Amino acid sequence: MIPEQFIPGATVVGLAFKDGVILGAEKRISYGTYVVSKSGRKVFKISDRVGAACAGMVADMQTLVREMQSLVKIRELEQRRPMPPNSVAKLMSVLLFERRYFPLITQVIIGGIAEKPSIYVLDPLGSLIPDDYSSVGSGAEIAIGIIESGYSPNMDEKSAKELAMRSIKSAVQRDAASGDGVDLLIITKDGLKEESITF
Amino acid sequence: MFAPSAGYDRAITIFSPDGRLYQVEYAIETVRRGTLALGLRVKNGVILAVEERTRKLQNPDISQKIFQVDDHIGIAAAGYVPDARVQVDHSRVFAQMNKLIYDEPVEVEAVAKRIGDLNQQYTQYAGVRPFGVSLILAGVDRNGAMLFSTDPSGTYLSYDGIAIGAGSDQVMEYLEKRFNPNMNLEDACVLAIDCIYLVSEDKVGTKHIKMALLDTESKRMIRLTDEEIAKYAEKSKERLSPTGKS
Repeated sequence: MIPEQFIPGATVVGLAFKDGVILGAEKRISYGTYVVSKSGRKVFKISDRVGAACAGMVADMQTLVREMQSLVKIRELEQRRPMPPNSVAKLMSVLLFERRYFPLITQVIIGGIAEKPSIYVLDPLGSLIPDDYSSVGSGAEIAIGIIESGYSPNMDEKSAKELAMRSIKSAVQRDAASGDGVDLLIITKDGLKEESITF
Repeated sequence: MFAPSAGYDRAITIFSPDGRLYQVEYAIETVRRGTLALGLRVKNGVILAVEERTRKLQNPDISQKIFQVDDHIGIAAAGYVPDARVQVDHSRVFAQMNKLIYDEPVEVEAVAKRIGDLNQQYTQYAGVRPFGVSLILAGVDRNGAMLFSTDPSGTYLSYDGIAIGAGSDQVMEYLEKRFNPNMNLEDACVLAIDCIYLVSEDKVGTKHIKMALLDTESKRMIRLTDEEIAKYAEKSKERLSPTGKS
């Protein structure tokens, strides 16, 4: 078990809308009751059209994302085409499952766009679950309730962004391990946009 | 044939002073002496055809030279066929690995490159001999109907029509005149049989012919039955007889 003073927390959301996906996470990195950083990054770009948002041990998510970025780049060079989100998610699932007995302590939401926008949720052991929207981390229970009540698969970018922000802000109000700001990654056919808001 | 400098065609593959790899050239010669195999790619699919010599008492039901790698990829071989089997085993594992890791069917070019890489390794390592076989890979993937060929040196190339093995030069010349990428799969099957009759000692019957096809609709490899091959052979003969040998 991880000693209580090292237990991390986070609120991470991901949702697919009409012409893209949006990934979001707040910026607080905390070990137990101590706020280690107010400007952490838990949203990552993996390729030009796939991103990941993570909750859990920061070292583990950074290592995992770095390895993914390299492997995806090599695969894209070999295949001479962009890697679709389902392949990226499956590859990460394989990496996590390979470490089943000494796992990377991180939950991940992968989002991207190929023919259509898609979202995948992964747990530390490599479960791979496709979904329209999802939330992970210590603030997940709060955030998912907000998303669930306001989500529609045909929503546009503006209302999707508004819903993602509202869900994270709700979690920040009541989850002590989440806060300090929000990072967003919006992926549409036109490309990939990063946004950052500090509270 | 060759006039190899003494010593440079023995054991491991090393360059001769004039920059040749004799063991690799001999391996390619093995392919040239194998029985004919060919592949044709048209708009709505791709076909494989091979000539197989069987002894009178041999059971011809099992094709020795056409293999299935995955639902959507088939391989035809010419040369030293046991070597082909090893490469096919390798391709099958590679195809499944690709699906397991990336959640999508493997591309035909990826398999061709993999076999090319394998062939290349066996031209460079000590204590091994090159593979004595060329493969024709036919498949349907996200890019449509695909046709590739590999050779013992590790080269792999994409084709609309390719023949390997004995008589392949003659067949390639024939195909260059007769092949049309807009023809349908049935016409391609007839053309393939034309090619086999062109160089085979057996100008009648279809016992020595084996074929497989993949169409872009189903994306599945299908082996043709003896009856279907006989039907195409009939058309081939009708076409060839008025003009005689074309």
